[in-house]
Amino acid sequence: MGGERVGPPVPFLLLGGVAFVAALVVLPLMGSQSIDLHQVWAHVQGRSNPDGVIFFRVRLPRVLLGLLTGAGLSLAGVVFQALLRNPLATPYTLGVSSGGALGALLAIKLGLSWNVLGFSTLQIAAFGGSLATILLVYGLSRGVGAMAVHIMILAGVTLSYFLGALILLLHYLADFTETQQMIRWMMGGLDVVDYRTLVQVLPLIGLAVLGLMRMSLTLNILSTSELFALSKGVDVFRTQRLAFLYTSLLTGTVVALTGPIGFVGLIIPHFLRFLVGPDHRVLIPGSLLYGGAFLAVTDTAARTLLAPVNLPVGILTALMGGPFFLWLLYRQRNR
Amino acid sequence: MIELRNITFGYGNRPLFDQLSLKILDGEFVGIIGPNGAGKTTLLKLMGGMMRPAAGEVWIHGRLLNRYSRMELARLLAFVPQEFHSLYDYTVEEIVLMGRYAYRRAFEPPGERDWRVAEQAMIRTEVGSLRRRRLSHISGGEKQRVVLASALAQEPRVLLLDEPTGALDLKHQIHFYRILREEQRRSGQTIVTVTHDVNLAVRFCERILVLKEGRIVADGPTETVIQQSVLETVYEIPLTIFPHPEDGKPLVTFGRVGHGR
Repeated sequence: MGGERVGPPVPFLLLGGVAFVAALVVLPLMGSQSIDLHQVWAHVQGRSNPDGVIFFRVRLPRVLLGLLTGAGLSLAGVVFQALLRNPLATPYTLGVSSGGALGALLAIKLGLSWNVLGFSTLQIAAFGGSLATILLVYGLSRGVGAMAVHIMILAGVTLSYFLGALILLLHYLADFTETQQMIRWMMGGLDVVDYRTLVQVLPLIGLAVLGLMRMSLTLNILSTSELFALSKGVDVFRTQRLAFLYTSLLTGTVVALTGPIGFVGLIIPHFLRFLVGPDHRVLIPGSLLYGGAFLAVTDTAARTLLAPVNLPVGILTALMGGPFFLWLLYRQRNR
Repeated sequence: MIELRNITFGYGNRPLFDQLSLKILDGEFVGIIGPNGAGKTTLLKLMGGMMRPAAGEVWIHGRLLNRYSRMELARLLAFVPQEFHSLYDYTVEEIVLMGRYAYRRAFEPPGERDWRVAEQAMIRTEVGSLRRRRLSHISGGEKQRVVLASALAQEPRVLLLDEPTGALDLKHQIHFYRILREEQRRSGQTIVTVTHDVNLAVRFCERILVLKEGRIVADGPTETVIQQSVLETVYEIPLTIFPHPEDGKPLVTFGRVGHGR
């Protein structure tokens, strides 16, 4: 009778934690310019030198942004797939990236370049665009009570095409420099951010992460079936609304800083479910740790593989993610 | 007691229930039968607060259903759907522990009592040995018992079941209902089950409610309701009722099929 009770998979989370911290420490040392660790240490102690400047001013913020972005996108993917009970759902499926892109491209086209609270107009426009899109999709599919999942996905995909046309229109109307800027933004990348921007978005992301963590148990039940969740005492409508809000904040913020970086929100959640099962009490911290480490590593590869060429990481995630995902599907088919 | 008072409900422009009233007493084992589209499932969902009537009131244990929070309701009522599908492959134990949701707090692991109740629910539904298996690795009959275990883990006073054995073979149908009956004898829950299988209802239910096009056509003790005249009007086909050779309980089967009426 009974048998021992299953606790959280500690080794899995521990390994994720190690990967995360290792990424933070090791990755800034890697790059086209080799860095001497002693020099970095000297820099910390106040003896400024070029190696220290590269480490702290250029690479560390970039790695931090990679960790933050990877964590955010993976978590958003986990939650969207649970909410919509659809394995292909990511914030991007619902048109978030198109909305963000339209915002960003509009800012480029209109040549807006104010600075509000340390954020560029481009970032704010991208954030607004993403958020507006997702709220529109949500509003469209919100029926009398709970949301209609299939309508939401259809609405998202349709809206993506529509926004895509607007984006092409903007491209067509843009001059050469603008086009250059636009294409670069659409590729998605972790280029220069300063610590201030990172610190400023942290509360927003922290709020979303904590909010979603609190909902892990509820998300477990809701990810099976709406009726089942209702009968277990879950306030389905409230949960969906809240989880949607948090994930939208999360994605909107990340997209604003980095542009659309695809596939992270798809690969990491599926990979983790494959490893440890669908329990969100494990998946959520797992997606933060592994997703963060994954994107930071991928970005380091992107800027070192073809050095001195600095590849946008969005290209690499898609190049790796596509085949990987197909392999995963193929495996599942054969099970 | 569950009481429906003058319930009106419809889908879109199609009215289903018009001023329907109904009382279900504590500890009853009620079967709801009737043809497709009669409103059986809808009635069950209205009782369980999974749908709200357009007009009328649902009272549960002397309190208006709207006055209960979702959590309170889940500690009182449990629901077993016809089929349970989950895209995500949880383990048996995880599904059963979900039945403790209404008793738990957000950040805490399941408590001693949660484990104990879940444990008992698994033993009574005979799925204890499957606890570590994932849903994709158990049979349909086992899965329904897991869903029942999850419902029992809610420690409900009322169990609402929507064709719980509709997709099961004969053996698993009987097995499922036996567990249900034992559970009721032990804990005295009220059980309301929707079924297409009249004979199953005859075997296990004390009271049968016959529904057709949103109206209650017959309602009473099983022996009085299971009459050829009643059932033929409801199902609109010739039927034959004869005593079971072993215990004389009514057996219902179709009559001269192919010969018209």
